[in-house]
Amino acid sequence: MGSKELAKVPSGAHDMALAWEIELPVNALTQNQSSLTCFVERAAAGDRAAFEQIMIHSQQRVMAMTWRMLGNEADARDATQEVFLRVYKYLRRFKQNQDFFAWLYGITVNVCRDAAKKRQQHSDRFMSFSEGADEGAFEVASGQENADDALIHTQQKELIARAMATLPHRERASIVLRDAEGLSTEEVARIMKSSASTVRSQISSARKKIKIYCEQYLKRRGAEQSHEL
Amino acid sequence: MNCKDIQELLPLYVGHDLPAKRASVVATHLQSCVHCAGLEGEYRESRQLLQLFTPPPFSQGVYEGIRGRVLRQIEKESSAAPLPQLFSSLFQHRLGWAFATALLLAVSGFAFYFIANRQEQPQITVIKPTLNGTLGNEQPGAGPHGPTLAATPPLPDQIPAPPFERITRNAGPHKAVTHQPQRIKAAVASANRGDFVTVNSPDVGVMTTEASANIHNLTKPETIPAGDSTSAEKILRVEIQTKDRNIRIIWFSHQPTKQDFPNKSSEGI
Repeated sequence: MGSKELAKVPSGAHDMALAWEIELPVNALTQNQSSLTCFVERAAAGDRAAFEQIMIHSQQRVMAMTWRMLGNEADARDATQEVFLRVYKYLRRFKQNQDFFAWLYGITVNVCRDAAKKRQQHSDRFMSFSEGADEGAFEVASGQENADDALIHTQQKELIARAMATLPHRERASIVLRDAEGLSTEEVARIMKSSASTVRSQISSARKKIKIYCEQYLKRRGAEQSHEL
Repeated sequence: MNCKDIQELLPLYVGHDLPAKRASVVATHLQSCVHCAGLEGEYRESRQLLQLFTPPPFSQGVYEGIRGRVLRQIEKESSAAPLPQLFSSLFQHRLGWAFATALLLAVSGFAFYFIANRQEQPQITVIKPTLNGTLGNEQPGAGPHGPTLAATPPLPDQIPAPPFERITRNAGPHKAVTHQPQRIKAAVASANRGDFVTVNSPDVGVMTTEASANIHNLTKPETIPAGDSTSAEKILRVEIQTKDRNIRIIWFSHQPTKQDFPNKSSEGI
């Protein structure tokens, strides 16, 4: 399966299902920027099959981002759905010289902000990150040889999730884009529609808070364990 | 740079977010400062934890479900409301907004011009008692600037009693007069002397002196019966047409005396 076959990727839901069956390399599809540009043009003209291709290209990134921002699968699914609805709605405003994924991340950040606000109005579920998280998200992976390592890994994952939940929206978005998604500071600044220095400040603040949270949490856990002994 | 400055830069240093020059300064400091080096290690550890912050693998069913819902929603919206979509697509363009704004400004400007011109007509009439002791009576449609004095005034016994009490009690435009009795008195006195009368009031607008042409032809006011014919009080009647054509203020005043104008002679008042 090379790049020549990628150019022949058919459009439409049925054809794409066929593409899944024959296991076309999804990563290669995602990286094929020229075909994505073509899909964007066609989708902006009203081609829904092309829009579906865009969703297939970008759904994993969007889902990962929304999960990191919201902390559980159910909210991440709803937010991802809303992201693609907004993409369809505003696709005509997208300029071809723009970076599509930067534009998409911008929409994702806004949708996550709205979703978090809405959720906060109903309850403070977000404050207990692991409670809102779907079952199994922080479970010990069964395939790991060393059960102790797996447990530590899971605890660390839960710890960082809790620490992330304490961050304000913009700091959380900045650090997710910079450290988890691996974008540069300048790219994050473009997505967040702010300056690079502001983003640096937000990232610095977020890293400090995460470090302090982890320290305090570990100290507390250590004190509890020594008390039990 | 001291330790405090370096510690401020450490969160950015561990993420390679510092410019090269500053990063080299921090690196040099870390080689010589054990405390700051320890902090740097803590920052690195917490940053490594972020790498663990990955979502669980979602099944293809999850993605297909999302795509299906999105496409159904799009289908539903596009078939349900074609008219709002037409409007929204129209106003998505900046040209549409610019046109709408220009149209709104033009309509507002025209409306303002029309209303301003309509309200410019002066509307005041000062009617003074005639020589034979009767009040001047208005004639409808006597002229563009309000009614003139009647040629044949009614007899004294046909004149209704001036509603002193009612004017002061009623709300609305009457209050405008009762709030400024001194100004009205002065205007009436000036009219009696044959001067032009101009009274500016925020409630009744600008009162012009077109009726003063009639005042010139008049002489001193006569005694007008107030309420009944036995009263000896001298009455002046002032009619003021407000901006609203349906509202006319009729004001009655006693004849100004020396107490009202202590510096002037009562002659000519």
